[in-house]
Amino acid sequence: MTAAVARPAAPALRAPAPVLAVRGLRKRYGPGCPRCSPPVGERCEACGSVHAVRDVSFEVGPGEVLGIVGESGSGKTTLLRCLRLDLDADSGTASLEGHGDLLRLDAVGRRRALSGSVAMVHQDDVAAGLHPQLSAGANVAERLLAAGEREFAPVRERCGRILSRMEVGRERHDDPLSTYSGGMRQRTQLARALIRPPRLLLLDEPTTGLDPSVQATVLALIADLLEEVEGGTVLVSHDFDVVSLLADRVLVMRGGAVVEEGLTDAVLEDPRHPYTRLLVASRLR
Amino acid sequence: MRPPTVAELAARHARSAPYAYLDERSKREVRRAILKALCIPGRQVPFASREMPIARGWGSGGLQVTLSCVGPGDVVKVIDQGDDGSFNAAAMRELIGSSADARTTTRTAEATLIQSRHRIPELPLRADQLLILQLPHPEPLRRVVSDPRRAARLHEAGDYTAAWLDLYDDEARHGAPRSGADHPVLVDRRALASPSPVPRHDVLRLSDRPHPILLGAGRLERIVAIPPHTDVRPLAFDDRPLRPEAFGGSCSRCGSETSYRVERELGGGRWECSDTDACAERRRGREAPT
Amino acid sequence: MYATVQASERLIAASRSLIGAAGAPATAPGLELLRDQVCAEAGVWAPEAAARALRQARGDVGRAVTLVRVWAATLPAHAAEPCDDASVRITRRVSAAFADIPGGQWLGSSPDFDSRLLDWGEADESPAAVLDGAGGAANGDPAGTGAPRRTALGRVGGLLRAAPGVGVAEPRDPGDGPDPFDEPLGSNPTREARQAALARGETGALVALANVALAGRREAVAGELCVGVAELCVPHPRSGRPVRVAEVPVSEATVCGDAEVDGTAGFALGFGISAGRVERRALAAAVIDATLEAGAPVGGLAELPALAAVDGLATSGFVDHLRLPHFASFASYLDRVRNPEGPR
Repeated sequence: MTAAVARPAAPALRAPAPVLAVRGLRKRYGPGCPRCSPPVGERCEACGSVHAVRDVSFEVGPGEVLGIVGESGSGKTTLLRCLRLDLDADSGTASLEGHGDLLRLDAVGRRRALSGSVAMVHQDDVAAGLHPQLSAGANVAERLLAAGEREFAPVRERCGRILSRMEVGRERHDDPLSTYSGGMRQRTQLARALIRPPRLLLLDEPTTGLDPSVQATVLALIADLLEEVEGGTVLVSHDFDVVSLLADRVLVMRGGAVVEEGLTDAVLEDPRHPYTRLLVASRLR
Repeated sequence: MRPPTVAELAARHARSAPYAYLDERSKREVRRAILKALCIPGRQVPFASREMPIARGWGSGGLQVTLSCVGPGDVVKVIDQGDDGSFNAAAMRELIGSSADARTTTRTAEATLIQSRHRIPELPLRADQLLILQLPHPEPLRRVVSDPRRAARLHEAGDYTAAWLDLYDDEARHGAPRSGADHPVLVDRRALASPSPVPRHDVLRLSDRPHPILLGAGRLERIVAIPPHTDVRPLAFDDRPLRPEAFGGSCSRCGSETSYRVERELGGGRWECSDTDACAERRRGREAPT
Repeated sequence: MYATVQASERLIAASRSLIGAAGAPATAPGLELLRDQVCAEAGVWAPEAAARALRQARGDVGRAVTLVRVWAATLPAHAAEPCDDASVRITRRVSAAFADIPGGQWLGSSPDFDSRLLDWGEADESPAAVLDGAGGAANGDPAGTGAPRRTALGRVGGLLRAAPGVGVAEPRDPGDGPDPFDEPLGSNPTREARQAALARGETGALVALANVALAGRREAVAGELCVGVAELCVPHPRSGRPVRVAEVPVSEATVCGDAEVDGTAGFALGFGISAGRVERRALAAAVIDATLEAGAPVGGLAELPALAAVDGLATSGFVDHLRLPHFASFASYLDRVRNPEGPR
């Protein structure tokens, strides 16, 4: 197995404090055992555990978009689920600016973090916390209401504006989300995530499952929006094209470990790790 | 004058049945729940509901609260949707009066203890009066959060986003909340509670009362209390206040234009006060602020 | 429940006397409502058969229902004429929605006036009196009170539909429904098929589902509860003219539930009907129907699973089947537990 390749980081003079700092994140599926240390991509012979995330560390700075790319089984989804507190990581820390270690928050702290500073866009609406039976506008309003906004008209106006900006026609804002197409639901998720600027934006396969023609427009929209996000963004995708369009830096994951990381352009032009080369080469062009 | 002891009461009314129908242990259980509930206004306090000779769902919770509070010096009034004469109200009044050896009345001004289903008496109550409401659905989040344990955690955290969301959705799509009676209220600006299925007209009259309000849910085994002078306001956006019901005519019996009236027959045009005692007072021409 | 029912002693005495008028001594009112329940759940109006089945099943209602149903399946079936509202004699009709309804409220023999305290007084305990007490006759026509026929009373549901500014959800197209015992429900049951399934539903299941459905509604009120006696007619084999062959007590209820109609608050009307006088059955069925008409799930269940849950013959049978030997299938799962797949 080839060792992970890290490029020298771009010189960072007086680098700003990261929004998110992840250190030594590990997640294992299975009972675990004293001898548990299978090679990357394999199960432990003794206990059958799968090490889905192995000692992953990274930082995301303000305004930065970090892409995490890998195939299924790479651990990228597990990693994201740990970050959005859907799964309990086994060890490691994930410090979010203003909240301390996300992984060690109590229930109240979690709720505060997830309804305020952390926003997510996910290919599965319900996992993203959406309510299909409520109107799109109400879904967008949720984070404002959670933050304590108690005047109806201003909230409605803000929701209307941001949804329109996401190119969802006003006449549909009050329709239940369940009547929306996939592309419109993603736009609603974006509106909902961005109506209050998040400190950490998590995008999980944001365009997967959408029709190709719709993907292009949604991607362009996300690209525009990300330029305005002042917090950090973590984007997970199996699709190198999506990552190359949106991310400043990229982590390549395989079998739970990071095999290569660096600036997106650099990694794409000159992939060092064999696996990365494979991924880059297999992009359909 | 010192109130009678339990032993004196038992000796005096010399029956094999306990005073006020419930045995002492049951009464103690309810009283403890009431005291706790008064300390945490608007929050649901569980209690072990006893089987009552009226069915669960018919006011057994309110009745247990009443029976645990009533004494021989009390004057008891029971109303059902404002009406003293309803059969269910009469049966409960009879049970309370006879088992507690207490006087009963239909006149709000005379009563010291008023048990009511789904209405607040129109006559403003005094500090020495106790209002007990029958509460069928103690959980105000029941329609938006289906898991009761999750609802309990949200109450603990004071996180009522789900309720605000539901209200926002109604306001956006229908221009107003779709609730008729039983519009949820914020008690002491902190706890979301069901005020019981009283009409909106009554929800707007719950705040800052000089007397305590106790709510008993027998079927779902919860007690809720609102101490005197507590802020109680309907869940509503600041710029979308809760609108009370509109009426199509003054009361055909007493002429009131401000009481809560119901139409006797759909489209019949005849409106009547729902609170029969308040209506009767007005008819008698006595002072009864409307 | 009925705020307008005034506690007049005369009224209560009259109501209680109607129980006696059914032909049984007042101290031993018999088990006629249990018989009604068995008939309703079996989908067959045959009080003597139900009484006999209850004795044979030693009081087990589920078994008694099966006995009656199985026996009925052996009998030749004749199609009856649709029951004409004009022939239904009302014994009771109340509304919790309005104090006054066209046709009036008729108290009849109200179950609410029965004491809820267990009576340890003298009772006639001979089995015959207990089970056959009310015979096959319906619960007495309150003769002399001029109780009207059903058609004379109108329907509260119709009132709401006609009221200006009130939106009522349109029911799905009415039509003739299949007998659920002859035809399967299918994946998209008609409203009539749903009604038929509810009418024969197991009482406990109906009540349980109605309860969970009520917890999720904003509003559910009994617009109308009506108990009457319906005449069942079959065409004469020779002349073809309708001949009355039975008088069946029937309970029906209309529940007005909240629903979104044309994007605003409105009503969904639920209808419930059951043979016999166990009113709770009709009320529960109406609540379930109103919930489904409003497009809401019944306690989280969609229509088909909800209707399956009230099919008493199926549900009792399946629970009972757990007593059968499961040795082989159980051993297979036990093997799975003991020998999990090893690591590859």
